[in-house]
Amino acid sequence: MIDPPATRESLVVRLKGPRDEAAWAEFVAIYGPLIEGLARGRGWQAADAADLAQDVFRAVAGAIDRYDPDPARGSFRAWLFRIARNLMINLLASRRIRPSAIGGSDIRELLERLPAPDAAETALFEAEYRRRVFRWAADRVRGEFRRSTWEAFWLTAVDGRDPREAAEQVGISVGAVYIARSRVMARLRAMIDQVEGESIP
Amino acid sequence: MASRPDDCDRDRLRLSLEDRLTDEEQAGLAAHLEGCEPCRLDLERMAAESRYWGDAARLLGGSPGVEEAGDLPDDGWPGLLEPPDPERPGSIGRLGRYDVMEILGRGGMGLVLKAVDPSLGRTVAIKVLNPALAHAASARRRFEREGKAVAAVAHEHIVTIHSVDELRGLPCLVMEYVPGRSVQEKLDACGPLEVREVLRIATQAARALSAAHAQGIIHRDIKPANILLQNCVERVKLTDFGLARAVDDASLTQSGLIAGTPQYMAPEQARGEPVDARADLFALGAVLYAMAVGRPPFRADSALAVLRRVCDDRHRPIRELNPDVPAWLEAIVDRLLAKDPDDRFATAAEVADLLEKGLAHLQQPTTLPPPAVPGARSLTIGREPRSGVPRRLAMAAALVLAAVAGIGASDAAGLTQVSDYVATILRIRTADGTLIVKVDDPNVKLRIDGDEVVIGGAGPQEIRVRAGKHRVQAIRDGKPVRESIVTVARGGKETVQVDFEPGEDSARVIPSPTAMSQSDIDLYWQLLESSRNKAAGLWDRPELNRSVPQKPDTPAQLRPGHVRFTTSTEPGGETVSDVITFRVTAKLDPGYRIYKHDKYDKVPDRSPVPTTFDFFDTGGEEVLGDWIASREPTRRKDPAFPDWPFTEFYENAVSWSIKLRMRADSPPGKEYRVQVGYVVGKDRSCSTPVRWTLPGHPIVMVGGGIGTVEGRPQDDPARARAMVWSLAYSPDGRQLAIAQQAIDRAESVLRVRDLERRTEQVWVHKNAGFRSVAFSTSGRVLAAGHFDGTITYLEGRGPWRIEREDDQRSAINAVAFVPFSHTLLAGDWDGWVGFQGPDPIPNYTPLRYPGRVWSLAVSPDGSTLAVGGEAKTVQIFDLKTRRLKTTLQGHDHPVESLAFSPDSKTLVSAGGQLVRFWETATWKESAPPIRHQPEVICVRFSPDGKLLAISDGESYLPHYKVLSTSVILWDVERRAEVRRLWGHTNTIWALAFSPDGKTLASGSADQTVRFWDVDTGRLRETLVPGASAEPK
Repeated sequence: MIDPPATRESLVVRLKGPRDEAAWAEFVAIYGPLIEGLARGRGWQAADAADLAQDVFRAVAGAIDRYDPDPARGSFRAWLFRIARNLMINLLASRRIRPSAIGGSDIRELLERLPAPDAAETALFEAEYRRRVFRWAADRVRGEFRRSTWEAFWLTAVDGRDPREAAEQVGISVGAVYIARSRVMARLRAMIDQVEGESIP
Repeated sequence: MASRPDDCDRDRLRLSLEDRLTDEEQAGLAAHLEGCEPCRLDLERMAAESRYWGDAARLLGGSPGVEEAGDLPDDGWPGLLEPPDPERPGSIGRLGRYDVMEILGRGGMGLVLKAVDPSLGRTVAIKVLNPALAHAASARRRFEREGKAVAAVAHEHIVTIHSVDELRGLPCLVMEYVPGRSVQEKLDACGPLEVREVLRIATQAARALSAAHAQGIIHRDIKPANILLQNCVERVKLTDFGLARAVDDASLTQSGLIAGTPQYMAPEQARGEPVDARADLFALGAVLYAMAVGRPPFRADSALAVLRRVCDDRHRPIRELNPDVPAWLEAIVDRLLAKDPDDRFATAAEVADLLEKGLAHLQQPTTLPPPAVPGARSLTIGREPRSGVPRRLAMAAALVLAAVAGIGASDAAGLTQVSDYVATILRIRTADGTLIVKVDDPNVKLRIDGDEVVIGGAGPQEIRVRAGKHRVQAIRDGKPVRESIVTVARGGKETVQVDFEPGEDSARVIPSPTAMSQSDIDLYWQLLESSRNKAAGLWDRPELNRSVPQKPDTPAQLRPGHVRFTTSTEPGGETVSDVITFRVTAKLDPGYRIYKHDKYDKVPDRSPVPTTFDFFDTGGEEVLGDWIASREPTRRKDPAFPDWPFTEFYENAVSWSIKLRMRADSPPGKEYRVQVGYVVGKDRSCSTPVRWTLPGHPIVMVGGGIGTVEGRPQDDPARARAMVWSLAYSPDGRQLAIAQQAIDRAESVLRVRDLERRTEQVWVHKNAGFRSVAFSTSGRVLAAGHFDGTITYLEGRGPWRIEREDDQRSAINAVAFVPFSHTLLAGDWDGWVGFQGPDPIPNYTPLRYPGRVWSLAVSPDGSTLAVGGEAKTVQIFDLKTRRLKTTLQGHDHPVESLAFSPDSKTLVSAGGQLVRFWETATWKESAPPIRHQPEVICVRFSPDGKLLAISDGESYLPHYKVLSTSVILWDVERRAEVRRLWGHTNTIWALAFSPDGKTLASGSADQTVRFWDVDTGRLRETLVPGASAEPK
């Protein structure tokens, strides 16, 4: 009650249950930085980029009523990520649609259209999207591992250090480094697949 | 490939990834992997495909990795724990001699860990003071005091403190570990409790309080979260005497620091007054209430609002919310929640006895009578303050630090959040009436009846005074700036407002008479300093810092009514400053506020009060620093925004200072623009720019003017705010078609305005965005293209509509009639250009453009069609053969606008920062391009072909932003700018010359259409479509 509630979440009163809420939280955690990053990359001011993110959330939240919970048509999460992806690619490609226009019918059209056949925009979006998903997943799984396990992964897989060197720094055996990095990666992959696998249209 | 040793085992690898090997097996595998590369590769492949490994290095690099990793996530605790003892399975780390097993919770004060004391084999709870607070001596002292105080009380219903310790430099309390859950958790899980359960818990809590009170300890923060229920037996254990302190410890009381949980805080505690044990009784009453109905008696959306309710409001009778509550229990709760401590029970023991009797009565209702609640009939709970003998005016200022439950629950950055709720509350007791003094200048001091009142911080200051006359003086810099005699009636409220008094040297800006309607915000521009060459500098001359309206020497560039500062170069002196600092002061009439622009929040659609946002813009890169407000905004719950937890705003007046650098390499004569924008309700407005020219030249500064309030939120879409996309004059010049897109609503509006009668016909389309509009040469047909793919045709006086026969239903971005026909050319987002309209070309093959079409132009001789858009090219089609003639290259941005000269000899294309001129005979460029910043948006020829109007803006600019935009009137033959028409405050999407060439109409996303006199450049009229004419 006292905590300032995040406006983003408060938009989504239509969510139907805790599962949907979790999916929405994931969506916001990934898409917020993603949209802002893309917009900033195009020279937008930070506040405008944040506004854009907010507008996209608003548009997507406004479309939630139209989600058909027919299992054959995919999960809520898949739906959410799919429409947002389409929207963002269209938005980037259209250029004409400015934040002000979101909420009207043209954004609805953008939401439902297939992604614009603009290879450059699509590629840009996909690259940025994957980066955000990776970082999000890393944030999520990090807490599940001991520090040494996580460090062994990070030093070797991300920083590209030699396993022996990492073993020495972390204070575990070289073999344990191999196990550790793969364990973290397996978990990362599972987490990424969870959102990404479903969201490929 | 190397041969594999015998113990290669893929199953073992898989189990390892799933963390299903024992430690011993894991160690065995690790040893094996060190020598077996094939297994290492297998393991990696099983973990993830190679692209994941590549991505990990590429995508995670640069983000915080190892540094922040650890078993204790985030927020200020890294390094608290030492690596776990391998002998102790399940341990997440060590803290001193303790093996930490898990984190039980975290709050503003600190972290609570579950740990094992290896020497005693005992499970304990360790409360570690938040490192951020550990630096504060008072917090550290209080923490230690908590331990000592509670350690002195041994009671079955109070959590035992084993020791007060310091571990890794942080104060720690080692306490009895109570497995189970708190009353709060139980309430969250089960909702309101049964009356019997309520009584059982409350009785035990009251007994615990009684014991603590007997030791002179007040808990001060009784709430459901601090009442633990031990597993199985659900024995009550009171914990977290985090705010308890000995009654005789006066030091903190005098500092006025209040800590507690607002919902359960006694009124006297909320006011920062000295409290005694009876404050805990109030909290116990609130807990009883919460247990019986599921929520605390006082709720609001901010800590301060809760406190206000705690002090002023009567709680809702408990039996209204839960009829199961017996009348005697309601009486007990009412008495516990009495505003005046004297009206409550005297001791916790008395309460415990009553509750016990009640419990017994419930168990044996026939044999045992219900408890008689003494004093229950004479409740004085309501709003009425206790009458008292008027005392001399005295004041207690209390800094209310609402250490709110929930704030700290999930963050250790809680300290900053907590401080966000700091507000100053001034109370003058002996209240017969309330005097509210609003002061927004921190330099102002107040005297009331000769007594100086110290004010700290912003926010409402409520001072209660006795009825009668009082003299209120505001003093600034030692001098009284305002004095008034206020008569306060008994029970009444009187408000005195001390406005910010601008310095004498402020330049008062005279409002522009062209403003549509006046807002209530005046802006003052004041030059503070210039960095270079002060001695010879112009700005030190006092007369220049005053508003001395002078006759502008270039009237065409100035709107009437502006203030202008001029000076001339000092002989032999450098006259120019390099870095200059301005102060802009907005003075607000009562009731108006400037809301701080929040990252995610915007003004809601329908605001009952005038609201404002600050938006600032400058013309270029020359801003050195952000706008810095002279003080912090007030932050509180605002009735105007019921959905928001709080808003941040300024009242009365606020100043910003801004530093700007004039770029030395800029060409002479370059203008710099500064402006302040604001929003009233949903209506955006802004000052006109302040302008000045460059070093070495006479400095010309044009002061900002009062903004315009443009449109009002409306239920009727025809009268709602909408940006202007396109304009077209009827061939007879009597009508103007205006294509609009509504803002923040679904509808869009098409208007045909009768310019002589000043009436409008309005059509509302259910979807957003009439994008373009065109009249046929005959003037009998008007066509408007829409973002949803429809084209609306109007003929004569009545509208009719034809759905486009195209499944694609792609947005129509541009329409143009073939001259002397009723054939319409329409270009859409799929790159199609079709021949349609009342007189379509039968079975036509649409023309194709390789990208979204953004602009169309037909040569006046009807021979040629030019199509521009996303592909950054212009395609030229022969209209007779409908074949592509050529493609014009050279734009580096999408082509926004196209225009043929009236003689059809020249085509002008515009996009990005370029305007290009093409000779239609050869399709070669006939003149060097014009470069213009920020972006060229629209181009139109005057009917005589002598002038080209070029509008600017930013195609990305959100509608609610403020950007000073202009139209350039360009002499085509002389290749020179004739005039610059300033006035719009957002991108100018539309231009249209009247057929007689005397008037230029411009339409912008700022929701206005402006009419300019072409000869003089004068702004003749500003039209806010929807607001200025009654739709018919």
